[in-house]
Amino acid sequence: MNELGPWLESPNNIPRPNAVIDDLVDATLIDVSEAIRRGGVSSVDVTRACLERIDRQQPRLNCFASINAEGALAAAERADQEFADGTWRGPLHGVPLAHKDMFYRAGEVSGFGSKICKDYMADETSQVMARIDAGGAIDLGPLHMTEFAVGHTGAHEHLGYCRNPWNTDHIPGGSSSGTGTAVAARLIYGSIASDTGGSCRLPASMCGVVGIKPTYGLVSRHGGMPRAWSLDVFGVYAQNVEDAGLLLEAIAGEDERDPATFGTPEFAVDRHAAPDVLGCRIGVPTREAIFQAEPALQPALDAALDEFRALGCEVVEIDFPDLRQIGALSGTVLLAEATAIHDEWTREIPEQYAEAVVWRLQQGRHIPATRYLQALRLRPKITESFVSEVYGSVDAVFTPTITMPVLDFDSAQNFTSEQAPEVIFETTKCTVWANYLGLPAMSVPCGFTPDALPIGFQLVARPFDESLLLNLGRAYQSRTEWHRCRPPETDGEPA
Amino acid sequence: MKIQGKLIQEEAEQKHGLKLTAERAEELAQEVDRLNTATAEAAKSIDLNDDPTVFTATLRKLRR
Repeated sequence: MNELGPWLESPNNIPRPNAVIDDLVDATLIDVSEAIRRGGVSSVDVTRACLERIDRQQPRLNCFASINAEGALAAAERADQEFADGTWRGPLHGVPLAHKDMFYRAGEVSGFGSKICKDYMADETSQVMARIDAGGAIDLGPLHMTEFAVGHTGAHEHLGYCRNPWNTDHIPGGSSSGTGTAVAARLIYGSIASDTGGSCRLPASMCGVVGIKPTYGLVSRHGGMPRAWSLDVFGVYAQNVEDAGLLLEAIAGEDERDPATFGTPEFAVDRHAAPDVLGCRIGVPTREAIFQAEPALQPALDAALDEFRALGCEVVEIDFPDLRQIGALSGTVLLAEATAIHDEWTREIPEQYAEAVVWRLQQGRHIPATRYLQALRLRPKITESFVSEVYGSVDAVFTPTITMPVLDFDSAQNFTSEQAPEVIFETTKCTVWANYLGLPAMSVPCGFTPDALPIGFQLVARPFDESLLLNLGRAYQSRTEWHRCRPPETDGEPA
Repeated sequence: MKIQGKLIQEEAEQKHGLKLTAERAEELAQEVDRLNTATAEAAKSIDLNDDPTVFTATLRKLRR
């Protein structure tokens, strides 16, 4: 066996185990990064181990849109050669990742989970992929996503169902279905995805991993499939908060091709400082009906708050502004922009979409332009008022990421088109407001329901306070083990 | 006044050249009416100088 360690203490002072090759499946991104940097393992070894796991799990989970084994191994060989020649690009050097199938790479197909764009080839590479590539990461292939990022279950007419690794009868969530599944199943060490109403947080919660939606404008959206320009952000998935912070740092920053990033603050993570959250005030909107979790989830959420209290945080009840109004304004913007993006195709080739997708992409035609612009005009004012009202007294807000247990596919799809808006509201009501307000938000695993499906909580901070979210998350994970839980490799095996 | 399916059906045909079934038009009307009503209500607080393009500047201003 090849020694990977021994490790230095991790930044949050948890001694890491002496890892060996056989433990690669449980290694974190930072474990693997350190192992490569120390020469204990090669990028080719790690990439091959990931490909072997993918080979075993892809038929069961269907989380990859396609697998680029040959290209990944060639890239890993180049990374190893570069390292042997004395160049180490940084913590992503030689680390296998994979990303939602919506980021452009010059000369390569980006399919967006669609039939229409199954051969779409961009002529330039997205800013986030350029940054990840510059860091030396290995890309194992595009991950499954719902068609054009519409939908919240992972069910897919064209690509087949992507399944939750904890129980394949259950949904992984959407639209970043393959991302949540692949990270949770330990097939990759992290991933870049998008979030328009919760897609970096809902699959993270349902699959038991960490997902971060950054502040609007922290990460360039240039070169990624648009869902709704005003609400889209690109974010990260990882097994734990520390890894997620590393990925976010890699993709954050100003980009002259995305005006939303102009003047964005520098973002850097000090991984070597212990997270200090003593005295941090966490607000819990207990009186807001929208955040009332079902009984199967509440004990885990209460226990998470107890951990924050034990860390020296002050947990306080807060009142919330009207989230139904914010949800409606967000919906107005989303429908108008999504319909504008898809107007020609939904008119000319509607049969190329799944019926439920084209149904949702038609709605915005009937939103008056005046209402759309009013929803956008209100946004700065409402955001300013919300931040002043809520973050005047607390540092972060704590909610469930979703208030119901992870549904099975039958239950998740058992609704009529007339009921669809209410179903979508129920699924995204805890997450969508952070998109309209542009706030950073993070989902962290905090336990399991009695039937062994993951539960997540969400922390939301004021604009550009990602560092606080990371500190809170790292501190929480220094006291808990939920992020170390790995799903079974076969159905029926105890978790 | 509540938006009716008939209006949606006519708008789809006359503005967009699309034919909708009455059932589909009624479903759309419900969702459009909900969003339209909520946005119109919220818009009562809009001031002459509320400019949607200052959103990212607002976020930067609100950072800690």
